[in-house]
Amino acid sequence: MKCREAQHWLLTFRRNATWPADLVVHIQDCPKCQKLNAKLKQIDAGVDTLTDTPANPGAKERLMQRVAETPQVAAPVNDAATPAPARTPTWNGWWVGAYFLGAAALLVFGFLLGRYGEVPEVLDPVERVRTVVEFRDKTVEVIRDKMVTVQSQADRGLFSSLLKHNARLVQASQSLERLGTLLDMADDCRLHALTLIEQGPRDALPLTVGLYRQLLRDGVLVQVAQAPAGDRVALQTEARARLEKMTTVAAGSPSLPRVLADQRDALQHATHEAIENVDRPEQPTLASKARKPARHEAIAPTAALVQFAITVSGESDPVAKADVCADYVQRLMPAMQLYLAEESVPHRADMGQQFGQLIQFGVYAPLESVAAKHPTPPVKQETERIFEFAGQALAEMEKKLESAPAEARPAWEKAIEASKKGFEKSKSFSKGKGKAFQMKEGKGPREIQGSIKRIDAANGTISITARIQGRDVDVTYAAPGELIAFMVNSSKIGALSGSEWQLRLSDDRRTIIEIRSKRDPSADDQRNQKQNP
Amino acid sequence: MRAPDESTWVRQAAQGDRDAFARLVDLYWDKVRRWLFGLTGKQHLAEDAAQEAFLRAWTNLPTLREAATFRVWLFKIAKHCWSDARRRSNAHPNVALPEELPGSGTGPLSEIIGEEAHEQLELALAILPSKYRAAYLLWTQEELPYAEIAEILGITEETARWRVCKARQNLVQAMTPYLQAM
Repeated sequence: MKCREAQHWLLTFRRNATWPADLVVHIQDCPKCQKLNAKLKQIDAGVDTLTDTPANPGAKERLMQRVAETPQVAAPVNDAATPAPARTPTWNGWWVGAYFLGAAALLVFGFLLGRYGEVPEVLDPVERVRTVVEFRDKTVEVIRDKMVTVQSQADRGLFSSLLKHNARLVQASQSLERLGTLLDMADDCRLHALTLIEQGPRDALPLTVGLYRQLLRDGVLVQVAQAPAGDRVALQTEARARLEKMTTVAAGSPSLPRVLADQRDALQHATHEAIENVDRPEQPTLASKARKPARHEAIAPTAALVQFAITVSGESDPVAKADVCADYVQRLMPAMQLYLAEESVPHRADMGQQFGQLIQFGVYAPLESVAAKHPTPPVKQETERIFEFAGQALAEMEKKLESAPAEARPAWEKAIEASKKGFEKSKSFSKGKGKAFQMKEGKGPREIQGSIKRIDAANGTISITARIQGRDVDVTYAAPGELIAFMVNSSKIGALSGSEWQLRLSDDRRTIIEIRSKRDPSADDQRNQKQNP
Repeated sequence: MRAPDESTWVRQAAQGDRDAFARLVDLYWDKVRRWLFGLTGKQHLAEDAAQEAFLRAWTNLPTLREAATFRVWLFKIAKHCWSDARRRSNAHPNVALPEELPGSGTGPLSEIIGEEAHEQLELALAILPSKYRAAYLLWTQEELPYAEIAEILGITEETARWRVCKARQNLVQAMTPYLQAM
C-alpha cells in the first residue's frame, strides 16, 4: 500500500472500525502515516471534547411545555386511495399566459420577501425520507491485489485456534495424534459455525461450514484411509466415537430461519457422511491431492490454515507438501501481520511461535527429508526453488521485526527463531551434497548466477557460490562438455573468477549467450590508474 | 447506537403520546443540540434551533411513514432549522466559536492537545466550511454511517465521504504546528 492510499483510508475510516491489514502494516513501516494517524487521533479527541458542552436543563422543559400546547398535524390520507382528479386539457392561449404571469409574479414576490422581509415561520414540508438501512463500513484488506473482507472478531478466535492446532499437527509423528488434531480442528469449526448461527455475524458462516466438511472429508477420512492396516481399526474407533459426539451436540434451536437451519443441517449432514465413510476407507473419493491455489485466488486466512492442515496430514510426497505449505504460509503472512500488530489479540507471542513452527515443520522438514535421500537433479532443483520461496517468508519476517511495535516484537522473534531452526537444518542440501544439477541438452536452468568456485573439466561440473537469503550456498552444476570446454578456455570467464556474475545460456544449454558481471569499482579504478599513470 | 424501543416510542408519539415523545427527546436532545452547537458556534442559537427542530418533529410526526428513519428525519429537520436560523440572523456560517466555551481552559481537551492547540482547534473548526463541518461532526460525534450523513445533508454517499475527508484534511493542516510530538 502506498502513502496516498493509506492516507485516504486514515481520513475516511473510523478509529473503532476494523482496519485493512495492509493499512496496519503500512502504518507500522511509514513514519509519515504514523504521524498523520496520531494527529487525526488528537484532533478527533479534541473536537469531541470541544463540542461536548453541558446542556441547559431548562431548555428541555420549555420544549416539553411547548409540545404540550402544540397539536399534531393529521396523518396523511393514502395518496393512492384518493387520486387527484384528472385535468381536462381545455386550456387556451389566454389561460396559459395568465398562468405564467401569475407564477412569475409569485417568484418575484417570494424573492423580495426572502431578501428584505422577515422570514415567516413556515414549517418545512414534511420530508419523505426513504428507508435508510444502517450498515457499517465494509472493511476490507488487500491481499495480493485482491480485496477480501476482514474477518470478524469471532472469526479471529477460530483463526487463533486453528493456528494452534496446526502447530501441533506439524509436529505429530503418529497417525492417531494427527487424527485427533484434525478432529479437534473440525470440532472447532463446527462449534464456531453453531455460534455464528445463533449469534452472528453470519458473513463467514457458509465458509466455516465448508471448512468443517473439508476437514472431515479430506483430513479425517484421508488420515484413516492412509493409516497402516494394523493401526486403522484404532483410528476408525476413535474417529467414530468423536464424530458421534459431534452429532449429538449439533442439534440446536428448532426455530431458526430457513437459511440458518439449512446451514445447521449441512453441518449435521457432513458429520453423518463422515460416520458412514469412516468404515469404508477404500472409497476412492477420500484421497485428494494437495492443490496449490492459483496466484490470483484470494483465500480467507482460516481457509488457508485448513488447507495447510489437510496438506500436512495427507500429502505423502514431501516436495509437494513443502511446496503447497510454503504457498499457504505466504498467504497467511498478511493475516499474521494484522493479528500480531493488534493489541487486543491475546497470546501474540504464542501465535508467532506457532506460525514459525508451521514453516519449520511444514516446509523445511519435508525439504530436509528430501535432501537426505539424494534426490534426482529435477527434484533437487524443485526443492531449491521451494527453499528459496520459503526463505522469502523468513526474510519478510526479519524485515517486519525491524519495524514492528515493541509489543509485537516477541511474537515475530519467536516466529523467526522457529523458522530458522528449519532453515539451518534443510539448507544442507544446497551445500553441494548429493548429485550435481544436470544440465543436459535443452534442460536445466538457463541462468546461472553467483561466484565461480571451480570448473571441473574432468567431471564436467561447474561449482559456484550463490548468495541465497543473505547466506553463501554452494551449488554444483553438471554441464554439457561444450559448455565446460568453453568456460575453461574462455578468457572472459577466467576474468570473472571470484566476482559476482550471471551467465545466460542458449536454449540447448551449449553456449553462453550473455555474461553479466558485477565488477568491483575499486578494481576498475586501480586498472585505470595502471593504464594511465 | 439506537435504543431498542425507539421505533415503538416513535409510533406511540405519532399517535399523540407525549410521554413517548419525551423519551425521544431524552434520547436525541443532546445529540441534536451538540451538532447544532458545532454548526452555529453559539450555545443559545443551538438550543433555540434544537427546540424548533423537536417541535416541528412533534407536529409532523404523524406523517412520518417509517419509524426506523426517525433519526435521519430528525437531523434533517434540525438542518432546516439551522438554515432558517442562519437566514434570520443573516449570520455568516463561519462564526468563530465563543471564547467562554465550557470546554476551554485546563481540562480534558487541554490535557489531550495542549492549551494553545485547544484555541487553535476552536478556530480551525470555526473556519471550516460549514458543509464540511456538518458532515464531519455527524461522522465523528454521532458516528453516523456515510449513508445516513448523505441522507441528512441531501448529498450522495460519496460526497459525504469526500466532505469528511476534506474536513479532516483541513483540520490536520491547520493544527499541525500545534499538536504534541509531531
